[in-house]
Amino acid sequence: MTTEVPVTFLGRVRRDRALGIVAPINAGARLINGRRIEEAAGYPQMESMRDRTRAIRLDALGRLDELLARFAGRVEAGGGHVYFAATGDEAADYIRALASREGVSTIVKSKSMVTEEIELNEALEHDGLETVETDLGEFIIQLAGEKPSHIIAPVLHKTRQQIGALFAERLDVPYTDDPTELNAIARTHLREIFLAADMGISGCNMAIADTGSIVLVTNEGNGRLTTTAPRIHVVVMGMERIVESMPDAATVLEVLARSATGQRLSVYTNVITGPRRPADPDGPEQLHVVILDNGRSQTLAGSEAEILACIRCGACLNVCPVYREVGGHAYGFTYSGPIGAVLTPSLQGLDTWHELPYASTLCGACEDVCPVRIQIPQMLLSLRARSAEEGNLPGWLRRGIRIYARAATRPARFRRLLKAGGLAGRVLAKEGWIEKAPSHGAAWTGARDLPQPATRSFHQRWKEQNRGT
Amino acid sequence: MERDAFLARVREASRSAVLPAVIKEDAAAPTHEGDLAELFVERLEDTDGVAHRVRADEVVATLADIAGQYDADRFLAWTDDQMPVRGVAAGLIARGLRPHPGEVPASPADRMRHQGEYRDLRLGITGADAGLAESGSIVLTHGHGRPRMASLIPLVHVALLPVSRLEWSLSTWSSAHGGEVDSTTNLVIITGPSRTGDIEMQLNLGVHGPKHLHVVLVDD
Amino acid sequence: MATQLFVTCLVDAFYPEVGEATVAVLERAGDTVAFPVDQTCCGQPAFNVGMRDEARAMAVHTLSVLDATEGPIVVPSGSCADMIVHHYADLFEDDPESAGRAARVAGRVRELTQYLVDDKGRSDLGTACDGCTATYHPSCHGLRNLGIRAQPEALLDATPGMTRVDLPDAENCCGFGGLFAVEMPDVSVAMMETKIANIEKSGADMLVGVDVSCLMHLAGGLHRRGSPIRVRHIAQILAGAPDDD
Repeated sequence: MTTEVPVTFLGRVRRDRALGIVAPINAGARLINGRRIEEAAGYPQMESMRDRTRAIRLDALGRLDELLARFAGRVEAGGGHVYFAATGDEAADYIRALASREGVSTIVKSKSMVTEEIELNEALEHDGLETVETDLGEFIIQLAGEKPSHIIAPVLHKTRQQIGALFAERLDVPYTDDPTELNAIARTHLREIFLAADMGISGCNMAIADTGSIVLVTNEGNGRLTTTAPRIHVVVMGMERIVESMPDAATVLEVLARSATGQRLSVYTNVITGPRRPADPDGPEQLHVVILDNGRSQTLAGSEAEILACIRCGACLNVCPVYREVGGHAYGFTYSGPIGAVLTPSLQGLDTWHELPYASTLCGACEDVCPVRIQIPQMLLSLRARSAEEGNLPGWLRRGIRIYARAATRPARFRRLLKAGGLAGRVLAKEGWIEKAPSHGAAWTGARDLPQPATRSFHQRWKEQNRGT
Repeated sequence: MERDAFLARVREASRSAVLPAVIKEDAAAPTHEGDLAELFVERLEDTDGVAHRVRADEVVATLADIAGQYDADRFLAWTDDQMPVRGVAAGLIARGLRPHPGEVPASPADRMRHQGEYRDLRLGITGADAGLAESGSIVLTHGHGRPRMASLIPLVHVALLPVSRLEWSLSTWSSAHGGEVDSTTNLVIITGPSRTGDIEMQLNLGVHGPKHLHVVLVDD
Repeated sequence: MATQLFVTCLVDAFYPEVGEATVAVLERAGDTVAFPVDQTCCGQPAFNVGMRDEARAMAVHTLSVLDATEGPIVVPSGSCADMIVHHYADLFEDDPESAGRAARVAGRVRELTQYLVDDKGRSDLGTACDGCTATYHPSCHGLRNLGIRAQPEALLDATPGMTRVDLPDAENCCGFGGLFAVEMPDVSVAMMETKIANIEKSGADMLVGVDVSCLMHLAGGLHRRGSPIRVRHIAQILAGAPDDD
């Protein structure tokens, strides 16, 4: 059964609020946010580390081609392969060709947002390749045929009962909703698959240019298993996810887990350099790094370049008052919350995604908590300006603002407008309040009263008191 | 896309990028006062790891105790020459435990069989190249005689860490050793046992990696 | 030298009594208040939806009115002050003369509580509010972009007879967001309801803020549910008009 996906942001918001999936996301986001705050309170270097993280990431973006060239050279010198993919299709085609050449039939995946961005699993399954997500949350999402609702915590929207029913149905196990038992079921089930898989695909939290290394960060251990057990390891990497050196990576790592979950470091921080060497007792025989553009060079060239400095911690989601009320699916694409509101239209175009920059009150909480100090509200404003220029604003709004602006540049006309508002108020209001405003005002009065516009504006009162200028 | 064309496009984009000017300075090394070992133990326990502190001649007995605690009759370990304390495997064998070979066979069929035998492995024993007191982490590098699976596949991972290898933080360790991360295929910084909060935000240990992490601090 | 009042369009149209209270408290602090009568709107509504040409036109007008005056420019709104201080520069990237004028004017613009507490060192201007239990909502633009938090709290704490109680999750946005309130009504209302629940949890019988934009939205929600909680701009507390409804 296919369900119609609402095409508007508000349509998706209404759907998800009605489904009841937003409330647990709200609670989860607040909980994780609380942990971030608690850990930050005990970490006196946080502010200086944020400053340094920002400098590291922006410096890297300013020299991106140089760092990528250095990185690729080091990977190849160490026996790995590097493929530069301009688009998601190019990336998928490379991996499919590799799998075919190497007789791969089972693939395990460690959580990777960039592979979701390019819909890699769908492309691989098209070739009959069994592609199994191994991060517990992503595994659940995959079984359910859904999309994640949060960048770090993919199944915030699901209850234990729903997960229990899902496992019982899809894994043919007795029903349980105890998280410890569900965890054990997943561990056993996935372990078999890990040990039998031919290829492991991971993302890349950070590439290190100087050493040709990949930094991969997980809490569960699936990242380690994915990149150790199978004989081929494929890394898919957004081209902007790079730093120059290990000391630079260390700075980023020390703010990443703290901002994401309130941990000092994630459980497993892997620094992977090349395929297995002759003396290694285990590890993959082949390493392939696929470096992806997919709209990033366009973003880098534009006024939202700074968004590419993101280290994918999710702190902005957890603090965003809009995200907490709409959840991740409303954003319609891989990246949600404040990061998604900028990145998605920037990478994929405002034509489809022009609503997202408006899914914000510009409150600035995101910028406040971002470990890279990314100026998200500023970029939302510049996206809105581009969107308005491209003609995406509703006609009533455009006309309304034009009328208002014409009055606001002509003082006498403005004062007449204030008077007209006062008169309209007298007609529409009862005891100082308007309960049902006409036309688009109904969007206000649906759930709120509107105060009656003053019968005598401040301008008028000042004039009456004969106070001059 | 051709590498040169790809990088040329990136270079051009960087040129017109609207990026705030930044100066990337070297991090000032944070000073730390106090006992590193004490802090390490505190921070390790924060992550649900278990700390032991013993003399070198007590290591085997401690490992045997841990093995008994988890009903482990087999163990997967780094080879003797890679351990910070010698004679560990021999000592455990003398106490009736059986070693699991760490070397993965070359042929696919043998590899599958070997990996299948990991199934009920309860105990993995490794050394550690460094400890990071601030986060309660251990740093492991891999290579000859150091199977990654020893710290990944078993129910319990025990790491032997000489006290002299303790450092303050990931940043201080990286300042000293960061340039050498490529001397190993795989370096891992382990901070506690495997965990997830994916199901209703409830903490669960031992998702894919070990459920129990013990660090035996060895006085040296 | 007179203090120039930039009263803001929402105060002008919906809450002129807040403007009057602002004048009264500035006079009590010893200032002579001038009101450049040709002022209209800073342009924020157009700017926030992305209509920069219209916003620019309003900014040019506002700058011409304010630049013809001297002295501090006091604004009873964090978001309007923020617009002039931080965003006029965005509108004049290609117009150095206007950019210069914007910088000059921005240097004189102060939100009301910043002006009273930080510039004039006066946190004692509160008129008695016997038995009032108030909670303060720190509007986002003022809070994050201008650092306004301690000043209104100090003013409330020094108001005789007033007890200030903490607002749980105070820094969460109320959901107004300008035209967001009517463009994304479901989300705006959900955020409003969360804020109102926190206001009720605080135990306050009065909500105080520095921005009538937020206050209008919250007052509308409180009134719709028949809440007895009174909503006041800080100027009204300072000028002593707590019963003005």
